[in-house]
Amino acid sequence: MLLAVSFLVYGSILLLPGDPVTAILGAEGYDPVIAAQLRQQLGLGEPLPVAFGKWLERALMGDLGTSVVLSTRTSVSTLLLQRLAVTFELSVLAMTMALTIGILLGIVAALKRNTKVDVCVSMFSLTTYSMPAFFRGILLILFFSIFINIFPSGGYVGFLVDPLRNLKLMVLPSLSLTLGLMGVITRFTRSSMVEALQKEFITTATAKGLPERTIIFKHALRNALIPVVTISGLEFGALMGGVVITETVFGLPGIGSLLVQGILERDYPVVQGATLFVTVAFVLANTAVDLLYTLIDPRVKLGER
Amino acid sequence: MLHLLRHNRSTLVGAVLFGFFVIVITLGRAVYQVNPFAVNTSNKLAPPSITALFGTDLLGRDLVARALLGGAISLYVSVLSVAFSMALGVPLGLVAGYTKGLVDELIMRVMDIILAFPALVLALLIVAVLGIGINNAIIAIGFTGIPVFARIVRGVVLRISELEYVEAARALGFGNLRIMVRHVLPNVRSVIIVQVTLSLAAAILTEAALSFLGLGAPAPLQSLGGIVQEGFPYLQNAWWYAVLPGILVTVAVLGPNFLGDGLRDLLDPRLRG
Repeated sequence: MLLAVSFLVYGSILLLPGDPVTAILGAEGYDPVIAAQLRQQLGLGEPLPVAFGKWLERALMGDLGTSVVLSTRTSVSTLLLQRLAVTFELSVLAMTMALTIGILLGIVAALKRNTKVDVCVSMFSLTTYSMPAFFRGILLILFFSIFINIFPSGGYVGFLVDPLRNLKLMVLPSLSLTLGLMGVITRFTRSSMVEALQKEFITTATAKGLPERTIIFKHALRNALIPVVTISGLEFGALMGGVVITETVFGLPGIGSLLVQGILERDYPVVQGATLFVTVAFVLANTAVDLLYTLIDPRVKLGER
Repeated sequence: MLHLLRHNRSTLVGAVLFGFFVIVITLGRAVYQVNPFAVNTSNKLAPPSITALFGTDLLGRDLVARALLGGAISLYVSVLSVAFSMALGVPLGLVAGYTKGLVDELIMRVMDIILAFPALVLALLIVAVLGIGINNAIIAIGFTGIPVFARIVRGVVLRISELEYVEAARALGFGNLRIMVRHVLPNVRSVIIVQVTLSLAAAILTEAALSFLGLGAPAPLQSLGGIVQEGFPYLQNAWWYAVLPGILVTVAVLGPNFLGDGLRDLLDPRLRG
């Protein structure tokens, strides 16, 4: 899978109109030295499998080429590394909050099924989920940094430089992402929790006189979580898309905003590197979720499809 | 009974919301005849008023007129992208599910590879390769949607093609193409309809995201996402510039989402809570 993904990312360059090198460098900034360098880096002129093999080998060693925008000319791996921390922090914060709040809201909605609380939770999750990621961010900025000025609207300070300032800056971006991710989690938790609560073993547990809390958290939730785990794997995809938008809205120097900047500046090696990085992270996250799956549900064995 | 009503209600709400959006966008421009390109620099960033309900933009253009045009562009791009995903995804899923074996394996592997990319990131990569423009946005958004259609159609077809009536059609000597199109495809219809509504919601979102990043329809034909991007820097002094078009996008997405949800529950009673 990873091989196929990298091939697609590499191969996309051949779809550029005309000569890829000219297309990348543009007509005005054409420098024969850089062009030759790029031609060699991309392995153009060699048969495709060979060129791809060499490109992949270098990519595995951490050499993803050099940015072609003249002012920067830094190696793509350096750029990615510089920006990794921001994206990582943002993703972890958002995913943790989304899972916590989403699962809790889902449990509440399932327990209060078909009441006003349930309807409110459903409406809220569907609305935040239907809102474009940038619009969630804009509304948060409007309310929390313009109407009542409690959180900054953008910018970034490293966690190690000033932890308090860093967290304050991260509140709105991660909240914006959380709101987008938790809708799906809430809805899945609710429906699988409703299903689990109707199972016979819950009746048994109730008949045995177990406290309600034990029944809900130990018996029902454990069964209800299985589909939620699956969906949260897919949520990583939404997370990555959301990261691109959110970093742009809040001016965070992460990998998502690097990707957008790369596209706008037609900096193709940067686009390739960032896409490859994000997609590989997504594939790995899904693999991790599959592994987690076997831990929660012993009935599932790996290798069976 | 209570929950049946509830789900019917979500179908109804969805249909009303989306119907409202489509009617406003399509008929709105015929009724509301203000030129979306008319620049009036003496009246720039004016707040919403009776004469300009959404206020005006940086160049004093009327934002209702611009939002109507932008909405039409958003809708055009999203509908065509879903049509694109469907036109490729449905036949692929049909063939994969019906023929099984190696062809199935091959098609579904390719679909898995496409799905391995986060949707927006793949759309961004495609735009990076093809360049910025309306048609390229349609291809980019449509391409990312192909595997979803292929997967669900294949799933249903796998089940249906085992049924006796398909067997009977085979015994009668009908060709594979005829069986697929005339006997199998009609039974996949309801699943496709639900997926079309949900994919439409996703397509509107992706289109808005691309335009917001400046990678969608280029100026002066910005879609709603593009107008929000333009208004974003003026949030402090002119909140309406970004917020009102943003609400319009949200309504446009909410409609098909509600609709698809309600329809899915109606068609698949197992999911009813």
